[in-house]
Amino acid sequence: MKKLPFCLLSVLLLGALPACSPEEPGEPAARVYSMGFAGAEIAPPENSDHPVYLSGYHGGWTPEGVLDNQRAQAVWIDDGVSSLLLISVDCIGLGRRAVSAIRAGLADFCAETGCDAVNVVSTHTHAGLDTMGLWGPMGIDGKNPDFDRAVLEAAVAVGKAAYAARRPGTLGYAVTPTEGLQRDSRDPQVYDSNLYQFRFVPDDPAANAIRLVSFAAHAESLRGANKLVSRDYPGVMSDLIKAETGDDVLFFQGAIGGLIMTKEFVADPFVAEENLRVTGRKLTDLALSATEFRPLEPRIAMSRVEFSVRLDNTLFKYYKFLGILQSDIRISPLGVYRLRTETGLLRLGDVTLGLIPGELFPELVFGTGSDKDPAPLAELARANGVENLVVVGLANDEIGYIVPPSDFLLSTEAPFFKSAETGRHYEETNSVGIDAARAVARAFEKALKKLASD
Amino acid sequence: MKTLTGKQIGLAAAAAVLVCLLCSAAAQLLLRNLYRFLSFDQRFPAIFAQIRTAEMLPPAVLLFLSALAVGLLGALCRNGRVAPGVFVPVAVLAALLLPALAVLLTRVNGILFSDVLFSLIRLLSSGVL
Repeated sequence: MKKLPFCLLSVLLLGALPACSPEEPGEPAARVYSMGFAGAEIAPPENSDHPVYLSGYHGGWTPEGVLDNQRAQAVWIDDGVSSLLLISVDCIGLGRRAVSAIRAGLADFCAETGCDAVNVVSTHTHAGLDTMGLWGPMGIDGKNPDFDRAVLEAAVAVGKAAYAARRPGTLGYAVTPTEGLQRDSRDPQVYDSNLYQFRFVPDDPAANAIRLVSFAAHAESLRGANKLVSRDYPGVMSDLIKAETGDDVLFFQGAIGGLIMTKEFVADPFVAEENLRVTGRKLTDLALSATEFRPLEPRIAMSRVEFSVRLDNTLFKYYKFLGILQSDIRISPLGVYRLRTETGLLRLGDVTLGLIPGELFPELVFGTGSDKDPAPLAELARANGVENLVVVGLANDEIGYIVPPSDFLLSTEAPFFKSAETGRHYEETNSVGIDAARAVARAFEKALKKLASD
Repeated sequence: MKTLTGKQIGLAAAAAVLVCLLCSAAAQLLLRNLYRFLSFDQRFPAIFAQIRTAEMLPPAVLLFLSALAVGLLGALCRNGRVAPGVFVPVAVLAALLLPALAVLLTRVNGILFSDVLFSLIRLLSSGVL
């Protein structure tokens, strides 16, 4: 047998190597979650030329001190292909203009890093400085421009810092049922009593784990007589989890319309700070009781839909006229006002976060049984292949309460200025109008179909 | 029968533009002074800044068309096709109504001033405010 020349043998061997490789040429590397966290305090402005007002309850209330400062938190999440920032701000709510400003502040960052989406949520603390403008004295903007600037700067800074802090790791999901923590201020008694958690454990043992925690209850443990700035229970819970586990926490709200809040655990007499402490402790214990986190496949998908909803609320029109409300409101040639907002979906593995731009009544998630109401979001989600839906309230806007049309009732004497004369219908006075629920459901369904097709 | 000359139409158009500008300016002046009088320029600086914005343009266009019509009517009156007894009241009414119309149709931050005014009147008359 003739011997093959060495050079020819080498070429044949080298040429055979790709065929022996376990991967086909061009196959992408396996996806891995990478996440990073950053947080920063946003203290009340000192030496500001403008007054500061507490948001949540009474117009014109100035804070008398600080229990704990408001904060901005950000989590960077990527799977090697898609990436996003989730920014949570401890405040009553952020309107469309504020969210747009944060996104604009991160535009260059997104272009450089390839970040696909920036989502901004509010924890809805009722003990923070006014970021919506509705809690100044009557007709006066309650926002402080220096504080607004500080919120913007903090949100942008933590977004960038979260990206810089990213590490690869694994993401898990856990749902913890709770009982006896919440109450619904309005019949029917419907609310989501689950505590939802995503826990990211980095491969680097020296790095902190990160939790995304959600619980559907107004952050009002301090109640209406409080005059101290505070993050309320989301802050206490985040601090306790951090202290006891080292995990960094980003909190987001759920479907809290109606009005879902935590109960008073310290009563007769009610002591606000003690009630806050007890509430935070109870939620922390529940969060830490979850030890099994189901691993989520490293696969991110997102969709976003902008839509408009008819604006009927005269009081909102007044505040927009006065330049206080920062919503995107336009008038049609026929004189109909419409408010422009957005909804979206964020899928992590097989769990999907539904981003709702306001305070959604839980009935609109689980069903009311009335044909006057749109199909419940959970049903729409299942019909479009989403089995595990987690509602995120006050996401990327704050349009107010989103009330089921079947239970929407206005005052006959002064619609939107006073509650209806019978029954409990306070939420209508802080809603865009009866059209909101249907508009949100239509847009949510579009977002579901978009997610399914991408 | 006399017809309008090009010069007359041109004059009518120029007069219409002038009336339009005067009415817009009058509306702005009225609003700005009203705001200053009520100290609203300090309490509501955003509105004060908005008064001069492009939101004045739609009422300005309407004023231009109305002023053009008045100008043409004046030209027709001059040519004897319209009696002075018709033109004079129309012109006086227009001079009074045009600034008011401009104010009502002004949008501030996207909201019609007339919407705010009429709902405030309703609230005041019902005793809510």
